[in-house]
Amino acid sequence: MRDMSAHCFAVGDAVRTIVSNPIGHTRLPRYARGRRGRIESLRREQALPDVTVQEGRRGERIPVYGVAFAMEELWGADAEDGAELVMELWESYLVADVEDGALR
Amino acid sequence: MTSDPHGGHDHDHAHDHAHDQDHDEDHPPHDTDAARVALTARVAAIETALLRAGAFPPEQVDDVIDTFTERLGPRHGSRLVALAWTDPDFRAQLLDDATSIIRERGYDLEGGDHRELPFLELRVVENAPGLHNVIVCTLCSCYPLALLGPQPRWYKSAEYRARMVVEPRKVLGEFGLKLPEGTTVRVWDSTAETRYLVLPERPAGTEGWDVERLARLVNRDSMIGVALATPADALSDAGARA
Repeated sequence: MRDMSAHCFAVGDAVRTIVSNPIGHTRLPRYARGRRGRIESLRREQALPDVTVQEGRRGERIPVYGVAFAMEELWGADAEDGAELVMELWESYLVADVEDGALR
Repeated sequence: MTSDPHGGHDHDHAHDHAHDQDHDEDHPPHDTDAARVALTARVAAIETALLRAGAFPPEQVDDVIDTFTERLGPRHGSRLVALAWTDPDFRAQLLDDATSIIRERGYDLEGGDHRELPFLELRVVENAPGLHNVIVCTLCSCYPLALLGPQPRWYKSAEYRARMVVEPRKVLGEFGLKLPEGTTVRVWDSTAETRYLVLPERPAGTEGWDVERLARLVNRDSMIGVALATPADALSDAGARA
């Protein structure tokens, strides 16, 4: 029913969001850029809105993931205890977090 | 389009402002009456200009208003939740792929109209002992409008959007929601085309209740995650208010 064969990451994979500063639209919130998270779920492919909005044509459909972040990864020492955050991100916003083993 | 912070994100937003008559008693609007009057006048002027230009027929405006005030709304969300409480198979399907269920069966789940989602994906996230889910959209105000009706004003406020991702427990506390010690709060930021619905825990003392009666316990805020389902012993009161 759901074709997830195009997805590069698997549930549980450590990922890092890219750092970017586009002039136009993006769905990678600034507070989550350059942060480490884990793949929480695989979602259906969706058109990349950056392309749709910035270029005025329908963006290509690429895999989307639920990505879970620890609050302290987002907010540092000021993070609230006992909470976590999930957002859905397009694959082009994510890279494998190769430092995961060393840092955790 | 690029000057629109929503970036044409979602037609959930089409009527945020034009027809939002939402006065939430618990969370009064923070704008002034003067601002509301000015906004209403601006919307009316835009609508008039568009109609005069032939952008769309007048009936279409009425049809859209009718859709969002009559055909869609929180009764659909409440029914989904009540069904999930009573039918373990349905609950499993809903948690696995809510999008497909709606597309196949319609919002009323009886094969009726409105199988078209005004969003691409629907995801139902389940509360459980030790886990509480809450929904926010930091980028704009994405929300499962078809299942919950128009957003409450506070959901669209900059304060809710900014603070829910930083200090959710504190914000929930301000909503009057005190969670048991040791409960993890999972915040869902609606960044992609998925809209989220929280499946709250079934209140105690509702054993043997049918779906219709249970659905009356499923208040809108409990499906956003800023409240729990209405307690069983409060139902007569809730019914009187409804």
